Amino acid sequence: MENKPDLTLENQIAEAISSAFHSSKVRVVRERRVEVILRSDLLPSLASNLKYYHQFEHLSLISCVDWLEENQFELVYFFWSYTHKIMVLVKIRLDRDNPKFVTIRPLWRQAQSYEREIHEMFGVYFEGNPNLTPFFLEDWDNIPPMRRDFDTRKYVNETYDWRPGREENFIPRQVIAETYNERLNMAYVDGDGKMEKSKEKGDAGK
Amino acid sequence: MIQTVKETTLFLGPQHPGITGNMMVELKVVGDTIKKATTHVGYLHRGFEKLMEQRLYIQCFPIVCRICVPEPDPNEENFARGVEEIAGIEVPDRAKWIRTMVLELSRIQVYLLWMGGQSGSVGLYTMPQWTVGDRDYILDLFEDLTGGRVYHMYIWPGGVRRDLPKGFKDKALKTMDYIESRLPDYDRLLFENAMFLKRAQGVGVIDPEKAKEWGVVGPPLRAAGHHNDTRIDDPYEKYPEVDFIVPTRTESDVYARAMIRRFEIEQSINIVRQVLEKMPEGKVYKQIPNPLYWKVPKGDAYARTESARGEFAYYVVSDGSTKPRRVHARGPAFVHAVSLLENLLVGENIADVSMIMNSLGTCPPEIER
Repeated sequence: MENKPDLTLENQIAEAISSAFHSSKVRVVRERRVEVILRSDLLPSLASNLKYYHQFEHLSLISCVDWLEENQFELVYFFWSYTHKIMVLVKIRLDRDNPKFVTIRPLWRQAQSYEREIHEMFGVYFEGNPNLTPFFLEDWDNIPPMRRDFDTRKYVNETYDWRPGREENFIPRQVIAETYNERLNMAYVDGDGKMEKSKEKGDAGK
Repeated sequence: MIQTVKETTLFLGPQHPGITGNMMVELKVVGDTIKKATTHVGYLHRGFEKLMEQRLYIQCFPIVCRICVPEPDPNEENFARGVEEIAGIEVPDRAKWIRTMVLELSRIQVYLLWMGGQSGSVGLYTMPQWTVGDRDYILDLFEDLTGGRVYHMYIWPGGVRRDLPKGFKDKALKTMDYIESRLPDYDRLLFENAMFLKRAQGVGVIDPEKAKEWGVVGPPLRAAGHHNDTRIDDPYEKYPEVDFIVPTRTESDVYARAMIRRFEIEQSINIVRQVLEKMPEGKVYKQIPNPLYWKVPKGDAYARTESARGEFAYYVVSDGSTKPRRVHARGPAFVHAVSLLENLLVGENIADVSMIMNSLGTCPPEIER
C-alpha cells in the first residue's frame, strides 16, 4: 500500500507565491514540484523573492520551449530549495516575433551561460547579459537552429554534398547487384550471354 | 628596476583527450599564474536535442545514452522516468531495484575512470592502468546484463529491458568483493601518496558559503561541507529503502573532492549488495502501448538524478503527439566547466588546471549535447 504524500510544505510555498503575486497561477504538481505560470515582467521580482525570502538557493536550469502554433516561446526556470527540498518551475511566455527578456545573471551567475545558449539556439535576447556571443556554433548564418521552423534535413541537403552512394533514391540492393555484376564482368572473359543478361537485370531497377 | 609584465595566451585543448575532453580553455597567463580563463566549447555539438524532436519516444533511447560518454545510465533512467511521469506509468518494484543497481554500478565505474584521470593529471600514470582494468570487470557485468559494455539502452519506459541473467547475482557480488579488495591499493598509490597530497591540498578551493548559489552540485558541493545529495533530497527509484551514508568534508579543495569520491565508492558497493539482497521476484517490465504509435499525453516533467558528477536532470515536454516537443538535458558540467571553472582558475598555477578540471568532473559532451 502506497502512502499518500504529505503536501503541506508544497501548499505553503504555493500559497506564499500566489499571495505575493496575484496574477500568477500556482499549482502543486506532485511531491516536491510546484508550478508557477507568471506574467513575464514579474519574473525577476519572483526570482529574487524566492531566493532571498524562501531559501531557493539553487538555479537548476533555464529551458526554452518553442510553441510555434501559438507564436510564443516558453521560458522555464527551475529553482530548487535545499532547505525545503522543493523545486519551483516558473513558466513565462514571450512573443515569438520579438523575443526579448531581462537577465537574471545578477542573482545567479550560472544564468549567464544558460541565457547565452538560449540566445544562440532560440534567438531570445536577454537584456543586461554581458556576453551573448555564439557558444557552440561557428559562423552560423541561418535562423536559430532549435526553433521548430528550422528544418534540419533541408539545411543539410542544401549545405552539404551527399557522399557518393547515398543519393536520394539510393537502393542498397541495387547497388550491391551492380557491384556484383561489375565484378563478374571483370572476372570472366566478356561475350558470355549470361553475363550481359545479369548486367541488364541490375540496371533495370534504376 | 623596471619589471615588465608580459601576458601570454595559452590554449589548453581541444586536442587533449582524457584531461579536458574535446573542449578548450583559453588562459591568459603572467608567468605561471592564470589571470583570466575562458571556456570554449563547440567541438562536440551533435544536436541531440533537436534530433530527438524528430524521433519517436522509443527512438530517443539510443540517443540519450550518448549524451554523456562515461556515464550513460543516468541519462536513460532520467529520460525514462520523465516520460513515465508524463504518461502516468507505474514501474514494477523489481524494475526499480534493478535500475537502482545499474545506477550504482555505473557510479562505481565512473569513479574508477575518474581516478585514472585525476591521477593522470598529476603525472601518476600507474593508476589509470589499474583502474581502467578494474573498470572492465564492471563493464563485464553490464555486458551480461544488457548486451552492451558502454552504452546499454537497458532502461526504458515501463521498466527495464530484461531480467537479470542466470548467475548474475553471484558474479556481481564477486566483482564487488574484488573492487573492495582493491581499494587499499588505490589508497596507497593515490589517496595517501605524499605527492598527491602536496599537489591537491589547498588547490582549487570553492567558497563553501557561495557553493550553493553558484550552482555547485555533487561531490564538489559535499566537499564544501554541505550534506546534499539528490538521492536523499529528491528521492527516486528505491533509494529511500537502502541505507547509505553521504560523506562530507569541509576543506573544499581538490583533495577533499577526491576523498568524497573515494568514500562514495564504498557506499555504492554497499548499496549494490543491499539491492541484490532485497530485490523481490516479479515482473521487470510493464507493458506500454505500441511504441510506434504511442501518443504520450500532453504535459511536462523534470526528472533528476544524482549522477557521479552531481545533479543530472531531464526536462521532457510532450504536446500529445508521438514525438517529444522538447527534451532538455541538464548536466552538472554545464555549470562546473563554464561559469565555475572560469572563476576558479583565476590565480591558480598552469600545472594545476587539468587537476582542477578533473576534480570538478568536466564532461564536454553534456555541455553541448
